[in-house]
Order: sequence, then structure tokens, then C-alpha cells
Amino acid sequence: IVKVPVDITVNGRTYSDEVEPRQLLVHFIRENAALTGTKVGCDTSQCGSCTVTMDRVSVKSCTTLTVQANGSSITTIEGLSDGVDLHPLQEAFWNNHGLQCGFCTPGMIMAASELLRINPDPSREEIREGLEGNLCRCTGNQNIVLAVEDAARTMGG
Amino acid sequence: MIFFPSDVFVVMAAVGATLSIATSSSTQSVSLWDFLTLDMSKSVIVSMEIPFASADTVFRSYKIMPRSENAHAYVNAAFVMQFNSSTSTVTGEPTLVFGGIQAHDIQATQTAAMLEGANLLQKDTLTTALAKLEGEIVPVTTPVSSSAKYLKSLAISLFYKYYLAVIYDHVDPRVQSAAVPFQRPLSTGTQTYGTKPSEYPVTEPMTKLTALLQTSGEAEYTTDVPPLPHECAAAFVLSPQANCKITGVDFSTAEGMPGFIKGLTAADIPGDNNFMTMGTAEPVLVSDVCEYAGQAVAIVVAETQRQADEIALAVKVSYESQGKPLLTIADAIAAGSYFEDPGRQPIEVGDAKAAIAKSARTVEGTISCDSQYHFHMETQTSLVIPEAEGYMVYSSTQWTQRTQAAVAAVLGINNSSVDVSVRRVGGAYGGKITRSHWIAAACGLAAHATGRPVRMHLDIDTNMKMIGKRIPYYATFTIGCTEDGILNGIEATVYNNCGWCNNDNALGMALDHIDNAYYVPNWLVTPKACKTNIAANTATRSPGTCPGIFIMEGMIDQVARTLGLDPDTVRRANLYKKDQVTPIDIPLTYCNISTLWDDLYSSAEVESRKAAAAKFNEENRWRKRGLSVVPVRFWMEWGWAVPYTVHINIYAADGTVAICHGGVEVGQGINTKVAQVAAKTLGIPLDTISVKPSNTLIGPNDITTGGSITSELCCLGTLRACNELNERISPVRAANPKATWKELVAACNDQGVNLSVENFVEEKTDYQYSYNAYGVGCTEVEIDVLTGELQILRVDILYDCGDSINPDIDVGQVEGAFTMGLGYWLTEKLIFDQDSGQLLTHNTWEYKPPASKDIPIDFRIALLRDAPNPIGILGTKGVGEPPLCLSCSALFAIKRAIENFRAEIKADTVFTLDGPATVEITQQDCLVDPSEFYF
Repeated sequence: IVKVPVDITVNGRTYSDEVEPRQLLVHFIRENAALTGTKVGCDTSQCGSCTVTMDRVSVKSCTTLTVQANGSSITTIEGLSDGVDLHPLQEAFWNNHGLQCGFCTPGMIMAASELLRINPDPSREEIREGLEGNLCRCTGNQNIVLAVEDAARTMGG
Repeated sequence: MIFFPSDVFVVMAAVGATLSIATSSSTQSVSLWDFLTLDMSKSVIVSMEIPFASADTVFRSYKIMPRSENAHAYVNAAFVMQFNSSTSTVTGEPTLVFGGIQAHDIQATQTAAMLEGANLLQKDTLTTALAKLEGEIVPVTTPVSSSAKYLKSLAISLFYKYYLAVIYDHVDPRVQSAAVPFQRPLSTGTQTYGTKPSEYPVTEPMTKLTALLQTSGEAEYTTDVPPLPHECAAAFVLSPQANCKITGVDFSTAEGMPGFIKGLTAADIPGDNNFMTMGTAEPVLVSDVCEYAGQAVAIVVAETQRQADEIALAVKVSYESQGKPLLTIADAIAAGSYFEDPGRQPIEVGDAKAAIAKSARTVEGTISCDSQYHFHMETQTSLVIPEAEGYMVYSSTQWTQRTQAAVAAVLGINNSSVDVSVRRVGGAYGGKITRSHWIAAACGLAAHATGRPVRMHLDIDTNMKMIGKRIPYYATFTIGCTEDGILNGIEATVYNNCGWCNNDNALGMALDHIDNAYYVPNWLVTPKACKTNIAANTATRSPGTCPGIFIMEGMIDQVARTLGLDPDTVRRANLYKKDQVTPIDIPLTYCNISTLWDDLYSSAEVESRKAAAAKFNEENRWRKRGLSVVPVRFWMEWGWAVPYTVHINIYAADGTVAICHGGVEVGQGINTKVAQVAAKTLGIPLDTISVKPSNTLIGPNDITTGGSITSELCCLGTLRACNELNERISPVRAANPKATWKELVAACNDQGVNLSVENFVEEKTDYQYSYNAYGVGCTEVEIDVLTGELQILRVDILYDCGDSINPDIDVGQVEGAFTMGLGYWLTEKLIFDQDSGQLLTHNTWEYKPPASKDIPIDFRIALLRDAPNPIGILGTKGVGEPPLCLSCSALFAIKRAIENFRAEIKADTVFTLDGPATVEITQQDCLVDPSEFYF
């Protein structure tokens, strides 16, 4: 199998590796970078558990090829905090009981981080729009929306 | 044929966009219609050009889909016309584009031509256009698509909506709302409950202890256990055909594929070919008779999961069909295919036949509810590691002990040689009670065959095709009642679809709840468990209970409608009263359902909102609202749900505490509740307590997590264990009254006090009794009659949780369970191929659980205050499942709305609305007739 070289920065650290051209970014993140916070839920880009940001724009890493990310900078859930304090979104999901089993949570938070980057003061309607690519089976979504609102307030939007 | 109703194509084709297509040597401009047949090899789309529209252009696009967002359309459409508002005529020829009707989008050219120059305010313009369109819309259907009737009706309805939008200012105000799409307003919600600060941290609302890890990506699920040296992966090879005989498994292509390590069949199993160590044997791999399409025939082992998944698809399975598969309850009834043991004796109370015969009124009918995929975000997963003296198993399971038993039986080794551990599960909902044993056993087999650690993480297609789901139900009934709808007797036959095997049949639980919250003096209920050629269906959040309760709700609704009475009145009049006894002899000593009903009726302002809905319905021809109130009585039974072991260690070095219990953290917050009880009972801060993964060393014989009561039973074990520790510590405490906790436990350790304790929770305890949980839910919906689309305007729930150990967690359970139920009643639907028996809705393209805009716009949850459960552990009541049973109020609210429309068109208002009431079913049940379209 032909492999191609890639240089991808994940959470500030650059990984230089050779990958199959068809490898999905989520597998690069989970296996090559050994960061398992990013989840595979539905394999089909519907559930959003695999959401990360690529050059600050959120992507579903289960439908992004690793080679598409070559040269780019990826942030996963593990890289969202500054290493000292949690990101306000992480705090908010925690404080607002925005999770139960927690499997969708990393993707939800990453999608929300993109939403708040573009729109620091979203309405609930905009939050629901922003999270429409993410599924949660446990919570009924109510507290997830509250958590994002809370984070938006904290971030001073 | 693959249908892809592209939203972009419809819109861009309608506005006349053109594409610029480039090869290495040339560039050409093509219309979207020409693009459909263009050979795109060595070509790329460079740009799209969208023409400017003139000021008199009226453009609208529509998309009708099974849920509010992120779903492909049933039908989408885009319409463009130039409209001269002063003459009310169409300038030039409009463009009318429809998707979802045929494999590619179509244009209604004849209708468009007819409209050119037409005056839209003349009534016959609409009539003629509708007739033309009727002839032009010729749907082509696939097994997973909607019916041709619906697709056609929808296409015509969308054009009508557009027509109304163009001449909006000139139309009857009653039809104006049909021209405006649903606008979801700002969502709101309230969560109210009481707490007892004197008992904190018990009853204290707090988020989950591990929420920090879960939000930072550090929480480890089975699939996240770091890879081990030499680890490989496995995947199942599935049968493509139901009801067949397997004649061969050919690995020859697979063997040449990258990463291939081994192919395994039933012949490679050293022990029993059975992952169910109780009940009927269920093969890990079938070797002869294959019952259903999706049943596992072989396993392939490869270096990586992706390789294994790919190789599995390359394994050729040959088979001989044994005849057309039975897929539904109707198929089974027609073929007389039943399990000998339906799982329960019939219910016989009084003399139902005589009571019905003597009754003033008799009501007959049927009601049914279908299946539901668990949709755990973490699919079935296991990792098995061969060790010197046996196997270490990590499994995403609700039941460690039977996982251990299954791996041991399949490998033919001692249970004591297998250790099972589970830290947390990424969603379970009953799907990982028995089905997870299968995956662990298969991984065990692969680990045995290769001598290497083997992991298996099912992809969603395999998970959906292979694993059974919620059990469908169907009931026929005859009811005798008074003219006022007071129920005298019910005779019913309840059928369910177990699939090919009845190990997880919950028909008994369905019959135990068939009365729901209503007193009926005479019963005769006969259970019939159908055997079909689909996967063995299994527990799914509120198994048996949810369908049993729904059947009763369907029956009482039918009584009310047939008698022409308000269903709320009939429901209220038949509610249980304190000290009545259920058909299975449960005394309702603490029954508060009537009070709950009245409280909710008042707090949710049901009466005035019904009046407001009636007014709305009078003012709107094509939008209808409906409200429905549903009660629930849910019998929480401890008898089956034991034992659980709770083990607690206090570490004398620093006074911190570790707890291991037999329950499994599946997201429900069991570990947090257990820690709260320990912190309260020992009198120490919560952050000194950690809860360890559940495992077969500490809980060797523990039952599954399920039935809504594992949390409270593990809390009971924790309470007792902590009390025992307190007793042991007490003499040392008396001698050292000023000692800190850390000093105290150090002193205990010095004096030889055992700081490790175990409590075994089993049924012959003080808590052998069961209790009932009660709740009431009210849902208000608005439907678009022309499309079947829905908005859930408001939901009010009043739930009796006793003294909630943690209201934050329990409110989350109410919201989550109710929403999972909304998916079950409204959007989630399975479709099988009639000949092969293959599940066609096997991934997220066709299967639609609720998303963030499907939940109620106004969602009000209240836990009953000051209502300690007199026979509950710490006064609490279970909460994981009963609120799901309230969600059928959404289906009945839709029924109210449909009835209102049917009354308006003078159609029969007594009909059956089965679950799921999808957008399609809702529209079709409205009996929309384009000849009634007007402006």
C-alpha cells in the first residue's frame, strides 16, 4: 500500500508520519497521536462524536481524510484547555450537567467551541442550529444548550 | 437504485444556476440538468453561476423530512416565478423543481407552462394547476422510501403552499398559516424539585463526579483502553439472508487482503458455541441454520479494526434459502409462528367476558408499537487480553458476571480464569445486558485462536444489522364500559415480536403493566410471543413496561373516542385509587396518581390551553393543535434485580475511600449517587471518595444493571457497608473524640480494626418489597396537515421521584428518557427487505433519533416535592425508565390534532394511530385531499 507523508499539528505538537491516503483523520488522531478523547460514534458524519477543529474550523474527523489535514493545525478536546484551567465550555458542560454517558461530550464541546468562535453571543436558537450536527441519546439536549449559553456568558460574549 | 434528494441541486436547478466544469485542457458551462448525465471523469466543478433575479421574482424552497434537521428529505422542492402583483398574473414560465419523487430531481413543466400568464387569483387557476401537477408527479419508490401516495400528496401540497405564499395577501386568513413554514421560537425549560439540605450531600443537586474527566476527553471507555503490544482486531461476517442454511464460508479473497490474520468459524470454538449462559442457546457463529440476515457466520481477525471490517465484507457466505422470512407480527400470526412459552401465564381477573357482555358499551380495536435501535453512541465493544492464567476482558457491558460466564463457556475454561472489568459505558439502554456477552465471547475466541489481545468495536452497520432491538407489540382488544367510559372489563391478546429467539422476551413485564394507572375489575389478557426471522430482540429502556402501558393508553383512548368523550375525562375517571389492587395483586397502598394528575392539570393549565388550542384550530385550516395527558404507574420490582455487592475500603494512610459496586456506570450517575451516600454516612467530604470500575472479582455473582433500580440498590449496599464501618470505628471515635477523620482511621488501623467492608444486597432483606413510581405528562403539539410536520410546543411532566438522591441527575434522567421516547413514538423506524430479511435502515442515513431541535420548545420538568417513598431506600424512587412511558402523550396529542382536522372535513374521527407516528403517517392520517385546497 502506498503511504504518503504528512505533518499535522495536533494540540500544538507536530506529528510527522506516513499514512494511507484513505486513512480518516479520526484514526490518525486516535492512533497516530494516541488521543482518544475524540470518539467514533456512527461512522457516517451524523452523530458528531468525532468533531475536532482544523485550523480553527470544526470538522467531523470521521469524514475528513488525514491527507486533507496535512499541514494544518488540529485541536481536539484534549487541547481545548490551556493546560491550567478548563475551557469555559468544559466548565459549563460540567456545571450544567450537560452530559450523562459522556460519549458525545467531546464532539459537542468542540462543535460548540466553533460556534462560540464565530458567534460569541449566540441565541438558544443559534446554539441549537450550531449543534444540529451532533447527537446525544442520553440527555434530551436541554442541559447541553444551557451549558453552551452559560459558556457564552462566561466568555464575555 | 440510490435516491439522493440533494437540497442544493433542487434550489440551484430552480434558480437556473450553471456549473463551470474544467478538465486539464478545457472549461465548459453546463446546466444542472445536463450535469446529471455528464461524464465527470478527469473533470472538476470549478464554479457555479447563479443568475440575478428580477424584483418581481418569488422564490421559495421546501424540505420535508422525518426529523427537524440533519435528515434527507422525503420530498424537497424549489419554485420560482415572476409575479405581477398589480395584475396578479404570472410573467413568463415558472420553474417548479421537485426532489425525492424519482431517482433524480424532476421539473413539472406542464404545470409551469399552464401557469404562464395565468391570473393566480382566479380559482380555476389553482384547480387546473393542481390537476396538471397530479398528472406530472409520478413517484418511483424504493423499499426504504415513503409510499408513492405520500410522496405525491406531499409534492402537490408543497406547490399549494407556494401558491398561497405568492398571493399571501389575498388569501383567506384561515389558510395563511399554510404558507408560512414552522418557525421554532426560543426554547425554554424549567426544572423544579425539592431538596433536604440537612441530608446533604444526599438529595443535593450536583453534577456527576466524573464530569470533569468527561468534558476534558480523559474519560476512558472500553475502546479507549490504550493499545497493547501485538494487539489485533476482529470483525463479524454477517449472513446476507434470513431463514437459510449456510453451505459455505469462503475466506480465499479475504486471505489475500492486507492485515489478514485469521478467519474463524463455529468449528474453531473450543467450548460451547453459545454466548447465552442462561435460557436458549444463541450461537456465537452459526454453522448450519441461519435464522436472520445479519446473524454472525464467521469472525475475521486482522492487524487493525479497519482492515478487519473491510476483510469481513470480502468473506463469501453461500447459503440455501429455506423460504420467505417471517419479519413482522402479522407474518408470524399468518404462519402461526409462536414460541411455546410466551413468558407468562394469561392474566385472568374476575370474569372479563361476562363483564363485557353486561356492559352498556363495547369497544373493539387494535393498537401496535414498533421497534427502536438503542443508538448507544458507543457501539458494542470489547477487548480481551490473554494472560498467563486466563483472560482479562474489558467490555462495554451492563452485566459483568454473565460476560465472564459467556467467555468462559465459549472457551471451555473456568469462570475463575476470566476477569471482566468495566469502568463506564458510552450509552447502554438495555442493549448491553445480554448482547454484549456476544461481542466479548467472540473477542475471547479470537484471542484464544491468535494468542494475542483482540479488540472489537462494531461499526454502526454491523451493530444495527446483527444486534436485536426493542421488541415490537401488537394487541387486539374488546372492552366493556359504561356510557361514561368507566371500564368494566378488558379482554385482549398481546403479541410481541421476539425475533428468532425469546431469551430477552419481556412480554411478562408488558402484561404486568397492561393496566398502567387504571382500575379495571375484570381482565383476560392472553400473551403470544411471535417467532420470526429477525435478530433476537432485547431489552430497550423500559422493555415490556413501555409497550404494556402504551397498549392500555391506546385502549382507553379508543374507548373515549368511540364514546365521543374527552379522553382526559375518561382517563381521569378510571385512575387507580389508594388501596386498590392491580391485576397481578400489587396493593397500591401509597397510590397518589389522582393527586398528581390534578396537580399537573392545574400547574400546566391544561384546561385553558385546550380552549386556546380549540380556538387556534378554528382559525387555521391546515395547522392543528392537540394536547394529551398521560399518567404512568410503574412497578419497581426488586425481586429479580439482585444481588449486588458493594465493597468499600478506607485507606488508613490518608483516610480516602474507594468503593467498588456491582452496578455499572452507563451514564445514569450511579457512581455519583453511591459516593453521595457514602460521604453522608461516613461524614466525610465527597472528594475523598473514588468509585472504581465494576468487576467480577468484587461482584462475582451480581445481576445486570437495569430496571431503573440498580442505583438505589447499590446505594442501599453502600449505606449498610458504611454503617458497618461506623460501628467498627465507633469505639475508637469514642476514645478519640477530637480526632480528625484521618487521625481516626489511622488509629483504627493501628488497633487492628478492619477498614475494608462488603455488603451483599439480595432479596431476602428488609427491602424485599416493591413499590410503584407515578408520574403524569402533558404534551401539546402543532401539526402541519399538508406535510405531516410537527412541532412539540410544550411538555409538562410531574414525576414522583420520592426524595431524589440527586435532583440534577434525576431531572436529567427524566429529560433523557422522555426524549428517547419521543424518538420511539415519532421518528425512529426500521424497514426490512421482504425477501432477504436484511435491515435496510442500518445506519444514520435512514434511521433518525431525535436531535436538538426535535425536543419540546417548552420543556417543564417537576419532581414532586416533599414526597419521601415510605418503602424506598433513603426515601427515593427509580427514574431511569418511567418518564419514557409518558412520552406517548406526544403520539396522542398528534392524534388529537388529526382528529380535529378529520372532524373539520367530516371524516371518521375514530381511528387507530400506531407508533411510530412519523411525519408521513401523520399527513396520511389527515386524509388530505387536494380537491379541498382553496384560497
